[in-house]
Amino acid sequence: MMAQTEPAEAMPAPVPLPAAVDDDLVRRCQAGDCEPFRQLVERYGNVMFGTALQMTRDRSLAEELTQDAFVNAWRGIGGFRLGSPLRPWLLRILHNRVVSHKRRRLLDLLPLPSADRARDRQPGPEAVVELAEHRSEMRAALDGLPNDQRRIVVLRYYSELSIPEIAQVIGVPDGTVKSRLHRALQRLRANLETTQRSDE
Amino acid sequence: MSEENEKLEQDLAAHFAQERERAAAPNDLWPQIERRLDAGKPRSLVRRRWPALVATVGAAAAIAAGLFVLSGYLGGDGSPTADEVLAAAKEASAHPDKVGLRSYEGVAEITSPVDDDSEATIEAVPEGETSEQANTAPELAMRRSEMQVAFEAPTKYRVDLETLDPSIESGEQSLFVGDGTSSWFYESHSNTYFQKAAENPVGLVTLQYYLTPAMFFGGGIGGLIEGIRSATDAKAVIAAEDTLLGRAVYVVEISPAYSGSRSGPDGQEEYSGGVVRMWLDKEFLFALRTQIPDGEGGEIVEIRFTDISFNREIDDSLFRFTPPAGATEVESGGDAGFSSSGGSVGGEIGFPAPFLSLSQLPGGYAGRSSGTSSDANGTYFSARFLLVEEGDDGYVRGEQRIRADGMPATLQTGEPTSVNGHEAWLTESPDAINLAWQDGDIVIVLTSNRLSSEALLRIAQSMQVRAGGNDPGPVEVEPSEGGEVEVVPAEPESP
Repeated sequence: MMAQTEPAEAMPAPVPLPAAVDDDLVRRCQAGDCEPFRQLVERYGNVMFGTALQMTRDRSLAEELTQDAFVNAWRGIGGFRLGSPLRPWLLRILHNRVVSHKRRRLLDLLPLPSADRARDRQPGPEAVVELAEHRSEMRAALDGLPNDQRRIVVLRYYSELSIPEIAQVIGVPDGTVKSRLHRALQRLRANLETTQRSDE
Repeated sequence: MSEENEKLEQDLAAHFAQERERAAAPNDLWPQIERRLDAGKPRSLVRRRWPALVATVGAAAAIAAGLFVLSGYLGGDGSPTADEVLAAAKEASAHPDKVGLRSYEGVAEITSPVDDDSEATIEAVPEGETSEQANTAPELAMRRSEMQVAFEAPTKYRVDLETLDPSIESGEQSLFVGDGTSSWFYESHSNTYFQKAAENPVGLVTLQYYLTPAMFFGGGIGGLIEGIRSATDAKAVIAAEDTLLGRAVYVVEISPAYSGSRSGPDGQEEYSGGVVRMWLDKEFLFALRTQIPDGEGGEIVEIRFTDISFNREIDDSLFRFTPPAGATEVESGGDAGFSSSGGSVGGEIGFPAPFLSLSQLPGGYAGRSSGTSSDANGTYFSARFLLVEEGDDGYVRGEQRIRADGMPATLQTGEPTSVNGHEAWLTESPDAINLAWQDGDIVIVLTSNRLSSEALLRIAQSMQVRAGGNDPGPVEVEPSEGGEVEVVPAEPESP
């Protein structure tokens, strides 16, 4: 039988901090190695794609922009300063890509893909229905925000960036982010009230 | 935070938590990306624009020489002080040969605030503001530029500068070339150039008001350091030792970056602050990254190399200037041949023909500044104005340039629309909407961070060439409600 116990003084292998892991991966990317970049795509693919989806409301466009952003990140990773947080850097590239997309203004007006809407309407327990209704209201209210305000709300509450990180992503001072976020929430609340009144 | 806000934030968090669960990246994300990655190392200048011009020659010997010389500069084995590093950097920038630096080639990104007052005169103070408030720069977009530089000691250089910000200069280039005998300065927007005898290139490149590429050349860093320290009695520290672009650097902080005096409630008061940061290559004491606060602690101008190679042989053709087709040589003046003159601001913006004057202002906005620029012969080539939102951070910026070549292709992107029968394009930058169109030989770009595209179009449609130039009719401005901006036509003034 093999021994099942570890020496009392043995410590579990240290779990690297995310930033340290990122730095290590980035350093290897900077040397021209693609494999660590694949790991970065796996680590940040969901948040990048989800953020793009929230900003564009178009799944195929979000896929395209996420790919573009990662490709741009690869090209620019030589200039990434080790020790800096990677997530805001990637989201900044994505944000710029979203904003600069030529067709963005038109695509913003397109509805969600029908599959998503159908999924929202799936029958289920009452709580699920209520949640779906609430989500639909929130989504409609978010859709009613001006593009720049919606992007800030997405970066804050979907991508979960701090105010300074959002400032870094969109290239404005912290105070501007705060004031825009404040205005966005005011408008969002008004949109929600309008939606709720029309439902009554 | 109010209960309403807390509830809304909780609702948002819950909503987006659900959305996150539903938004997994596609399974084939990596294969799709992998197909598009270039083989080898990320982004290389050599691959991008100047292929086959660079070859590795003698780098090892030069590096060895540089280390040897630097060991003398920096006091031998011990860690140098910030003052020693800066003194060595100043010396090295003036005499790169002393650190074994014979040439370099690289790409730098420059971020700087859009400085609308740089070529304009502040003409009016909006009612209710003090002059100090009026002269405080509004919160403006940042201009991003990319600069490709090559230098070969002692006086050969090439700077290829391209603005990336979607403004009227988008995609256009300025070029500075020196072949060791002559120097040339070329700007594509006017398609003009002038030539001067070879000299220290600093005097030429500092003409670009929104950049400070001078710091990359002999004396540039030294002048910057000297200027800051003598003006503010600044102290320097080595804040960190780091790695940048794979090179060991000192991160040197110099503070205060600025000082002065201004009117306060109790009379004249002194102020100072800000930090200049430099990432100085340990081997060549070359500034790989520099951050400089703009004015009294406003936006930070940053110049950051994204690619650099030292001591590689550079093809000599890079340092020769061939005038582009149709380019006109102009006489070089002490101030680059450019001069500025103010327009009028105060409820309306008037410009001399052929520029368009603005007779309708958006509600809640007031004129901050306007101006025109002309060449050494007094011929106008650009006009600009800046409106700012009263009590908020909105702005509308207008730039007009005479362009015989028509609308640059880079501006013909975005959503097509029309202004007074002319084709126009609406595009969005990260924080602003841009509207570009051409009227005769004038290309106009309006930019706003707050107004809707409809409001911007209404302003554009109100712009006309005025016979009186600086004397447009009076304008009635109505405050807006609910954030919507109304453009109000001017009513004829009663005699």
